[in-house]
Amino acid sequence: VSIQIRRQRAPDTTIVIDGANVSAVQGETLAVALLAAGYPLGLFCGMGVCFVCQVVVEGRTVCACMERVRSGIHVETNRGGS
Amino acid sequence: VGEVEVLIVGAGPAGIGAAAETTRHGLQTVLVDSREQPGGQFYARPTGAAWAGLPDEVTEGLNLDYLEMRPASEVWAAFPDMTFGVAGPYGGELFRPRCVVLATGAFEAPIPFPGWDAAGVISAGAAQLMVKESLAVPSGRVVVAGSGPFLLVVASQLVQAGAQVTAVIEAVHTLGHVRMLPALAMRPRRATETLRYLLRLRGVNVERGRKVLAVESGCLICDGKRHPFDVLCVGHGFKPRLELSRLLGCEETRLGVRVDHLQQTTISCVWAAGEVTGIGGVELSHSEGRVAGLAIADQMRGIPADSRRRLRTWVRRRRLAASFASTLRSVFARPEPLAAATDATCICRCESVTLGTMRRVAQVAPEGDIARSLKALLRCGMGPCQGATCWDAIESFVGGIEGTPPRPRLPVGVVRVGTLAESDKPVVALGEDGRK
Repeated sequence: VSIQIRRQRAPDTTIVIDGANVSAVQGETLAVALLAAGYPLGLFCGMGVCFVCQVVVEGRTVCACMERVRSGIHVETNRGGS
Repeated sequence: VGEVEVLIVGAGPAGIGAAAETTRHGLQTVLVDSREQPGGQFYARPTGAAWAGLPDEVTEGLNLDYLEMRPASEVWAAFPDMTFGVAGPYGGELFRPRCVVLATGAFEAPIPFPGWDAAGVISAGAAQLMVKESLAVPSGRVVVAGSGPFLLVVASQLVQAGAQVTAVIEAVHTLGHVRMLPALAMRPRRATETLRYLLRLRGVNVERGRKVLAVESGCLICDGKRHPFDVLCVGHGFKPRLELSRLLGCEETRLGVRVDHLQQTTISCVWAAGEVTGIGGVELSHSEGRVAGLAIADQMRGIPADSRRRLRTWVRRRRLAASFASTLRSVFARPEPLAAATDATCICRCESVTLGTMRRVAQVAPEGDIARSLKALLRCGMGPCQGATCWDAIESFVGGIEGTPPRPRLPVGVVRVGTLAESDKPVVALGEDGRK
């Protein structure tokens, strides 16, 4: 079971996670968007140091906690890291 | 190679303070930060215009005509000839500044305990950033535990943002906190701040003098008491980010980079400001940044009388902030990193290495070769985080047998191979020890 998230703002955009459309909030971190959508994302440091939350965004491996949600970005959850 | 006058690494309270003073005095300054917006962890906020949302007093004096920003970028290399490699969203660049300010800040240094790698356990900083950047909170029962003034801040911010904080567990006993009272009495702003945090936590079970011992089936176990949680936010304090200062060969104190009264390090043209010189909080960091910026401007151009007055003011503010920081340090001593770990506790999360496995390797490792054996046989500290998460524990495990910690290697952080290829430095040949 991963962390459940409660947002203070209503989703205002859509991103694509592993091929599926998921609603998200512009500018929130991808980590929050993934957790709020119920994806079992590991999260620990929240500041791009521990690399537990690695995902692939548009072909780049990034920490989901450091990446902000932009409309329509494509995220793959199962390919990043070692 | 970009020739600039000043390169500032880190756009937190210290880096901004330095940049405000160097650009005010007309020095061409490049400001690099790993975040998209300047402000650092402390002023992390929802996205918007670069400088929007920062207090005016923090950016006072900043002249954007002399400032070049490198957001979402990492300084991946610091070469002894004062060349710095910067990798950003648009590729790699090299800078050769006349002066550099290391304002790299700090990261949370976790203490491993049984279950710290379980789902639902996050760092206190991660919880805070969730609130500050994404305006979101963890739902369900939230427990905040560990030690340090930061816990109170995070717990109160979580409560304010609507999280259901069921307990705050602080290792330091109430009597320990009493030692802060004289320092707080002398600093009304800090006292009101602390009072505000405590008021927000009315009704929350705050327990002092209880250490985090373990997480077991969704419960935090502290000195015999069980606290069920959905999300546990743990924090045991911060450590300065010293990779770049070590690559440059700066001397250190036991708190961080050693600096003189003008924030200059033991290496000429290298300055350091903020948490990297010792954990001290936002006021101390910003004052140090201001002092560094003014001192650099004075050294390179000479500063007018009003700037000299400002320098004296910032030196005074730095002294006050430093004395408060040292009081906090004496109250919240960091626990021994392995105090709560058992043989089954995972130490290096990236490579899933337990303390027991490390002990077995240490038994067969040649004398004086434990650190290297841990890396060679177990890949301890060699995963994606490059030891950022476990280094404190590993260092403590090796326990001084190996002497000083190994030199950091390039690149610092994560860099695309393409970025290295773009730089005109023969990176591969750069390891001074000839091992790279």
